[in-house]
Amino acid sequence: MCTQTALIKILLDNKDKILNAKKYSKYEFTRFINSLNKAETQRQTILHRIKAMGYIDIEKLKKEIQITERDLILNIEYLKELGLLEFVGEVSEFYNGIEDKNEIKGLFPNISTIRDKKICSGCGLCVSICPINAIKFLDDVLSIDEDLCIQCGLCYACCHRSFFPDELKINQKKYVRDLNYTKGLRHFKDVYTAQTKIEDIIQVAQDGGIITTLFKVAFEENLIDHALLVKELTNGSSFKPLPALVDNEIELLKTGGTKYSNAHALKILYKARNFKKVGIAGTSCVLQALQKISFYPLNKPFYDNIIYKIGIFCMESFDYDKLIEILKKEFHKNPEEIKKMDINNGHFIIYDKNGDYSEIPIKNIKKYGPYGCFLCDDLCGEFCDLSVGSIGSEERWSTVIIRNKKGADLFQKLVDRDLINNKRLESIQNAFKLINRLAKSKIKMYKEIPRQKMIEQDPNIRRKNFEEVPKEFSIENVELEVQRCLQCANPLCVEGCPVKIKIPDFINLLKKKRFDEASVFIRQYNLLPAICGRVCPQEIQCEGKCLLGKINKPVAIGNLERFIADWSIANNSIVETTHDVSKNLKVAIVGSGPAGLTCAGELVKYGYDVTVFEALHTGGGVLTYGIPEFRLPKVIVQQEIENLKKLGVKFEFNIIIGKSLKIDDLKNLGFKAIFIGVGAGLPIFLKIPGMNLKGVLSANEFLTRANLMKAYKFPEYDTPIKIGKIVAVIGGGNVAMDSARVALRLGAEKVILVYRRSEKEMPARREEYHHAKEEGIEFLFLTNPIKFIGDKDGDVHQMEVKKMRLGVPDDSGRQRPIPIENSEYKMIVDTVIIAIGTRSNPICPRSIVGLNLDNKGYIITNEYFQSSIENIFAGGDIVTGSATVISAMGAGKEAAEAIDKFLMKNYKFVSSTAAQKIRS
Amino acid sequence: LPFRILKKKEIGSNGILFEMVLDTPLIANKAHAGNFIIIRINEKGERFPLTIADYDREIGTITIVFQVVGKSTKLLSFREVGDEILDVVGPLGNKIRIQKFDYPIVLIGGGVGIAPCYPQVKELKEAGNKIICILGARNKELLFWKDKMRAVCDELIICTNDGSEGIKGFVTTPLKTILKREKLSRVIAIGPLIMMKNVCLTTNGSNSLSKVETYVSLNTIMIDGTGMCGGCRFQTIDGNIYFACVNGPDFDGHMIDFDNLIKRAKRFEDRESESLKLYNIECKAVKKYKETNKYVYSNSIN
Repeated sequence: MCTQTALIKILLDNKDKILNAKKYSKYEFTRFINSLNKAETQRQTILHRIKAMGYIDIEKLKKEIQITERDLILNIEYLKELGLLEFVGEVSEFYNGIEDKNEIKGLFPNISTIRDKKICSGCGLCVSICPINAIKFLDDVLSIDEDLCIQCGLCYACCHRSFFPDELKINQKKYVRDLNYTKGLRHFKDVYTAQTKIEDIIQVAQDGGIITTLFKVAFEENLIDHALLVKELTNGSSFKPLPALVDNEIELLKTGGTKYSNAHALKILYKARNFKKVGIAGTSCVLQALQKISFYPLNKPFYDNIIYKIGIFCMESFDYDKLIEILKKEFHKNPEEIKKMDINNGHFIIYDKNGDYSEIPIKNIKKYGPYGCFLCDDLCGEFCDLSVGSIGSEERWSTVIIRNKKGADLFQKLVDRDLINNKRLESIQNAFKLINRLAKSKIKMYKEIPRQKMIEQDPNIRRKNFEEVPKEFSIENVELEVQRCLQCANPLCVEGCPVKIKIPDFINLLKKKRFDEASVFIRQYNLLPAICGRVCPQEIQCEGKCLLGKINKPVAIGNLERFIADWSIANNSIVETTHDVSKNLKVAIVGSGPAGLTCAGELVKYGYDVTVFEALHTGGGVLTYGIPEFRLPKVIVQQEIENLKKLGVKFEFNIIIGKSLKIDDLKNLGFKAIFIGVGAGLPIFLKIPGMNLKGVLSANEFLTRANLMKAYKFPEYDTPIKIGKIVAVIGGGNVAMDSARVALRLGAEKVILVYRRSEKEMPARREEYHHAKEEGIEFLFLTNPIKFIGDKDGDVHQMEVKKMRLGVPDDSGRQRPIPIENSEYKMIVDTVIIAIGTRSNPICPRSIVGLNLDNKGYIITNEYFQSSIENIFAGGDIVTGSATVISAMGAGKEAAEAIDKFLMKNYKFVSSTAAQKIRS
Repeated sequence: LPFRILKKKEIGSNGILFEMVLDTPLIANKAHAGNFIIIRINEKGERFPLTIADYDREIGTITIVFQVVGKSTKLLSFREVGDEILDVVGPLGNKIRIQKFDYPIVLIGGGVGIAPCYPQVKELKEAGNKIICILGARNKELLFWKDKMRAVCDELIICTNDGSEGIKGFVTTPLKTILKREKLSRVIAIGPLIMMKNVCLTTNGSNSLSKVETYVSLNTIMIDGTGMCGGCRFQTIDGNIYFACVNGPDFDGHMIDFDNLIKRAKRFEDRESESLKLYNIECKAVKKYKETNKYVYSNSIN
């Protein structure tokens, strides 16, 4: 059977382009297509058989197709990754996560996906694989010429960071039985420490000179004709490494010495295609790439001529410009001054040309490492014949891990010819331990530990109650989850966090089970962790940026935050807060929502006398009136407020600034600075007929009744709420989602969420969307109401809607919905909840003479949160318009800093008490 | 700050109308004619608005007059002098604009609406206006503040539905007479929705009478009173939406869609009566318990 697959078709269609690129001669191209055809045909056969069976039966397939189990499984994995096995429920998580995947089924996207996810290891293989030379490394960053690209997806298929089936690894364990195994070193026969005796090599070697000696022997014994190695650019003033194919000893000697920056060695692999016997030395990323093309994508096109693979130990390498940055920033040296670099005893050491040396701990330079290296879990290089590196050995010696018989034989030749000194590594005390410990420190647990799930209430039960949906994230969950964190030295999650919590450090404390410290640590950044753990849109913040999330599921940072917050409340842990000298100055906070609470908490820590004024009868703002009980229990909000009271914050409820008290009154009461965090609380209504019918209400009213006034407990509580049988919620944000789910819990038979854009544009937190779907909320996308129709009593009983389509993106970057003509239809509804957003509440801002507002009534501030009036600061939604809880908290926190600076500048302080311990 | 009841007086004798003076210095300090407060009696209580009927900045009190219509007002009517109310917030809404008009102003207070008329009459009078007051009630029993009003207006007209005092009929009867008699600068009407609607129909120039600018004070269903919930919204005849709490509570009555407003006022009618019914049952039970045990529970029904 021969089927011309999409891949082969693309290559044949672009034959001229490919030949013009001159990577392939006509003959080579034909050979390439033939071998590809063989591989693709085999895969198609497997696919057809699976389609015929309707399920995957390895044993049966093996017999029917006459194929080894390994080849079969690897081919199935390939088909799965392509998305061709979805019909049997085999779905690629990695590929599915790619937004812009190739529309034609059966082709992978190009490698830009890997680059954009920041997971490229820099091995350089894709540069070799690309048949039209569209891929290059520009300053260590992959660059794809999208105009040249023919979208064949070969680069993605061969990349070891796209998918790497277990079967590629199991191979060694399964088929070679007489091997030793440790978690750090992986499979090996023996471990030695050795040093060369060859004078020429000693001159160039960093450590024992073993790799150069191995290749020298391999050349001399005619075991290889070429070696793919890395040398340094020989202009004398640079450490820029370059890959080279060498075929003689003189060139070989130029490759001695360790390189600390990534050479993308495999970018020249294609040049080795026509040589018969090639040896390659490389770090684990290079070896993994080779391991992948030992099967994919063409079932060994470039691979068969590789005779020896020698692994090089690698903790991480640096992009060249980062290495220069390290020299300049950490050592204050120019590259020209450097003679040699080394890593020893956990230190990065440089020797300069006038004989001096300096060193810094490696952990200080980790942050310069590329993200691709943070994902690497193999120190020694597993997929090779021998691994060589300095770790474990004494100075001028190298550690040699013999992986297999081929490696052992080559090593034996060195011994037999008396070219090296060698002894077993065990003879050096602790060497084995050291190398294992370091290797283990690179192991990533995410492959073994799945993302831990919060135990949730059953959707069918919870849709009838107001209890919190996620029930528990246990200590066991935490212990497992924290192990998944990659501990990136330059963490992306922190970038994603609006208050810049140092998440890896927080996770590290959890890892060490220092829960008390973890709780104090997180509260330094975020005073309301129990709230943020529950309501932050983590999927677009910390978890959205998490590097692990690019190849697997991100670390459950939100759940960890929630866990520690709840733990500290439950265990009454001591929050030790160091007060600055108490400053005898009063600061007023207007509004007790997330911005106000955070600002108050920060200021009280700075030592100010802080009073929060709140218009409602209880604190929390939107946390109390807006977010429902099942998402954020009100007892949590109250606990956080109690914590603040214990820190010394005073609360005055039932006071509306602008009505009960004016700004001048606050000044007369001695407040030296005022922070306005009144939010954007005015509901927006649609300007369509029937808006004022009974049964049409704002989400704010609906949620305030339910949450603040506990109308869901009517008649025990006096505030009534009415819910129809069929409820339509208009909007696609969290408020819409909350309203829909509250409506369901209040007994609506059917709740339909009507959103004018599509699922993708919906701004709601993803978890809420999933929860809502699980509970049975229906979704009507690309639909907009145009009229509400009432009965004789003025009750809404119908809604006329219009279908929409998506046009060009608007200011928000989302595609603008455009009405479709003649698409109107009516639907029966008896309650309509409008959740299309809010605007600024004018009461407070407009009561202040001289306060500059923008045309929408939001307060204009400078970068220090200062308004047009010097001692009035503002932050949160009243400045930015509707946003998230955490961004308001971020503003509250930064505003507190600005207020402190302002007051420090303008007032002298009378010191009273120093550090205080506050029990909370 | 506790919100204590300093004075309590029943108007009439059938437990419908009450006058209370509350100790609320902050609110009294800022109160003006047109402002209202929102109160919540206890932890499980609802928030509801009451117009400020009088205030005394010096001793720091405000006066409210309320009619028992549902559970919350009934609960309030059981509160005695010295008791505290859990939450009182205000003054809310906008004060009315006080100015000197060229011609007389007619102020119409209907039922419990007489009370919020008072500060408006007082402040407008202080601004040098000639004021004619029309007070309307179902019967003589439910009329109140006649003397207080008389002291601050130029002419006082009383009418009752049953004719037990003053003119027999609705407030529109004497209003028509005045409209025929003289030129007016403004009519202000506060009372039941249907009364305000009829006053507006009388003054909108649609009949043989001259058109007079008419203001009404809206007391719609509210929760927060600060513009947050939008429950108090009403629509104008041309379809615009306003919030009674932050845009009002006083509005040009001629632009209001009263029919919609009247329907919206009944939004929770069934729930309210359900709540009141349960409360009445509870009250009876408590009363019976107290009688049989000869034992006083001061706050058990509150």
